[in-house]
Amino acid sequence: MLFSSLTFLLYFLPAVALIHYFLPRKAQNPFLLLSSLLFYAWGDIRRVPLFAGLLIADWGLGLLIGKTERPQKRRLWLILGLLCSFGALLFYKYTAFLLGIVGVRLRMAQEMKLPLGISFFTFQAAGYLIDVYRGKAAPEKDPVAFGTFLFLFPQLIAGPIVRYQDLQKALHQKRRPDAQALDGGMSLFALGLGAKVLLANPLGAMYTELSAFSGDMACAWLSLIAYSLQIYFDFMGYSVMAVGMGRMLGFSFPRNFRHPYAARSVTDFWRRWHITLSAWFRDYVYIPLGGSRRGAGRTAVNLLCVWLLTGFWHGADWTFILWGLWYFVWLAAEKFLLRGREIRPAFLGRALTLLCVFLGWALFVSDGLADFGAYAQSLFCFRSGAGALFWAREYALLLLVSAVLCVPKAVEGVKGLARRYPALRFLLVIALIALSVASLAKSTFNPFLYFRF
Amino acid sequence: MRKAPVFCAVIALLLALALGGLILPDRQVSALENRVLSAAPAFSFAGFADGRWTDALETYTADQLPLRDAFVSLYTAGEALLGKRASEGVIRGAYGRLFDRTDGWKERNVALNAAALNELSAQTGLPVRLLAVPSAASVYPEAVPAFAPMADEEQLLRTAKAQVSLIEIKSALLESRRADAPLFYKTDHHWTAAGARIGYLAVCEALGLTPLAEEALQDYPGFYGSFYARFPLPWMAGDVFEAPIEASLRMEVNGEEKDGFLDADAVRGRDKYAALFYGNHPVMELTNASAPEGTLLVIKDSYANALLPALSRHFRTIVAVDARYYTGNIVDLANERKGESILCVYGLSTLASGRTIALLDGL
Repeated sequence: MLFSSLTFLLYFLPAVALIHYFLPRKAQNPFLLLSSLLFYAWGDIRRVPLFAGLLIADWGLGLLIGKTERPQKRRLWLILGLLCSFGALLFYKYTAFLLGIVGVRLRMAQEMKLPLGISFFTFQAAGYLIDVYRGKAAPEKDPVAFGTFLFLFPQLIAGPIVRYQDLQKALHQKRRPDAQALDGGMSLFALGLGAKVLLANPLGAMYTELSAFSGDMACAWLSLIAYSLQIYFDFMGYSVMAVGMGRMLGFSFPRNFRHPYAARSVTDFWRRWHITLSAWFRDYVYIPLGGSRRGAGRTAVNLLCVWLLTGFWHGADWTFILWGLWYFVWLAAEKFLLRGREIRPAFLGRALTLLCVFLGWALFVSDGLADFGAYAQSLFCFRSGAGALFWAREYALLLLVSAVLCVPKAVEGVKGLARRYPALRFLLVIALIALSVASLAKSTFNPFLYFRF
Repeated sequence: MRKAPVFCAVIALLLALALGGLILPDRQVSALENRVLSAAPAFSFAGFADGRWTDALETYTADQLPLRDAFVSLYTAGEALLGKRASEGVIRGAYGRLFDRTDGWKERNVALNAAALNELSAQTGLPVRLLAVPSAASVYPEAVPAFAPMADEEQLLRTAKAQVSLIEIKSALLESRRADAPLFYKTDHHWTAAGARIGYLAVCEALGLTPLAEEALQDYPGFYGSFYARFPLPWMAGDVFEAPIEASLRMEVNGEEKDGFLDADAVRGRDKYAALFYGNHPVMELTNASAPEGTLLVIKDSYANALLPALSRHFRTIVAVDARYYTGNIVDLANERKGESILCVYGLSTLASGRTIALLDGL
């Protein structure tokens, strides 16, 4: 099920939020786990065995790691656990690509559908096992509570990637969110839904429309701007909806985006974009490899590893690997050449960062290297027809609104007003929900971007 | 929870929409969008397992949403306020005019269809003439937004002309523009009675007929056509649909005689153009015992429906074949009915967006 569907909005969300609120403590976790299972099996029941298998395996191995003091055994259980999580990910996501590299084309592998959200919950499970192994988290004894943590529907299919320690307390107490949490959570949810349905979807339509004009430079850049804004509002929208729903259910999820398009450098961008994923790679890959404490050469290698993996995590194709490398190059350049200094004046730093990020999206959105080649050619062909003028006018207001909502001061200003005038917040939330429902009822364009994640 | 007004209001709103959609009786068609709405999907475990049932439930929920028409209007009004002029293949122009977005039209389709008409002429030995009705955009170019994604209709007509005898009407249409009698509807892709009259005069000239005086017309206000169904704007005024009052015309569909040629039910609805000849049929036969000429075979799409009443005053029999739905052999039909000539009346849009004539059996 997707958040941006009427099935979710009209039936699932109100039912789950209300029932969960009134249930006694002991019934809350089982209810949430069953709801999440229904949410996940919705539309393709073949996902259930994966859900159940990973739940049992990771829960059991977490217990085993916690039970023994012997380092060898602990390491064995950890490795087994990581094999389960990453094995599932490897199997479902990368089989066709890896076989393709060695020239094998298996029909079964190519037709395999990637289970929704697998990259998110396998990372969450791996993080949990490592934390238990390191003694940073106590193993969860209750399989229902563990399943609730691993598969909680708000963050199941598009993040944020949550740490067990952040939910542990809430998982074991009566969750009775107060009025502030309920209203704040619902407001966040409406904001996220609006970002997805009212901005990202039309921006996606714009991208689709304009990317059809290959060989037209103005259209190519307009389409790239549209896609860059689309993926931000889409992904941020999903994360904000997740955080909002989490609050309504009595959980506190970490923030996943912090105005990334206001970043002053590429390093800064990755502190603001998909924060929980960067944190995961930092804590479980970069730092264990030695981080930046073992000299420049080793640091560069570590960075390279992290960014190859980050790229590959986003999709099983060469374009994603190149996309990771692209960031490695800029991040390494900033680390070793600028050495933490910022480009002055600030607007120049921002502009260069945006250029770098947007060009990265051209790789990201392309369906294979040949497709990227054609896109890059369009972006730098220095030829344009008059048609671009029509489309520029057509989408001018949408682009303007979207651009303003990338500016931290504008967003914080609106949030401040909403905090100060509750009536204004009330009206804004109702308007966002009503407009989103209208859009979902009328428009046929409602893509899901993370089917390759 | 009582002190959480935002949460309570949203949940109440969503639940009201959910329950309303499930409890209120289902609507079968949406007059606003001019389409059939989906019915409640029957649950089956297999359908749930592979997603067919869940997909159908989503469509059903959207289609039977309480106040759906209001939500749809809200959405399109929002789009228009954001400055959108292209939506669902419709372009919003000036003077309240909507247009077909035509950049998807294919010259290749025109060439294949025109070649097929040429082939029909060769196989039957009858002269074949093509009347291709241009789009409103080429007749009202000043109302089309600058640089809108449109096809080059001149080029398409040239392509057709290279293959088949073309009855040209574009310049006549442009010359006959009058403020009080629009040639094309604003909310629909079809031409008006006034537009079809220009077509009639051109056909008469091509076939060597003496044009008759214009028939009396009946006005039916409140016409919201195909463009409006795709891009409905609450503030947009409807068209006035005009149909000739043609008493002597009799029509038969599949051997069954109809009561007049105007569907009295449909003309009371929103999509009034569909009332002409009760919609489109694979074959229909128009007879007028008092007419001077013999039989005419017409290959048509819906554009012909506004023109046929006037033509039927000349021909005792008109056999009208809708190439989009006809599955029989067209050459056999032409030989069987022994007409004197063949006329093709097709919208340029239909001619350029599909290969319906080229795919006719026998060609």
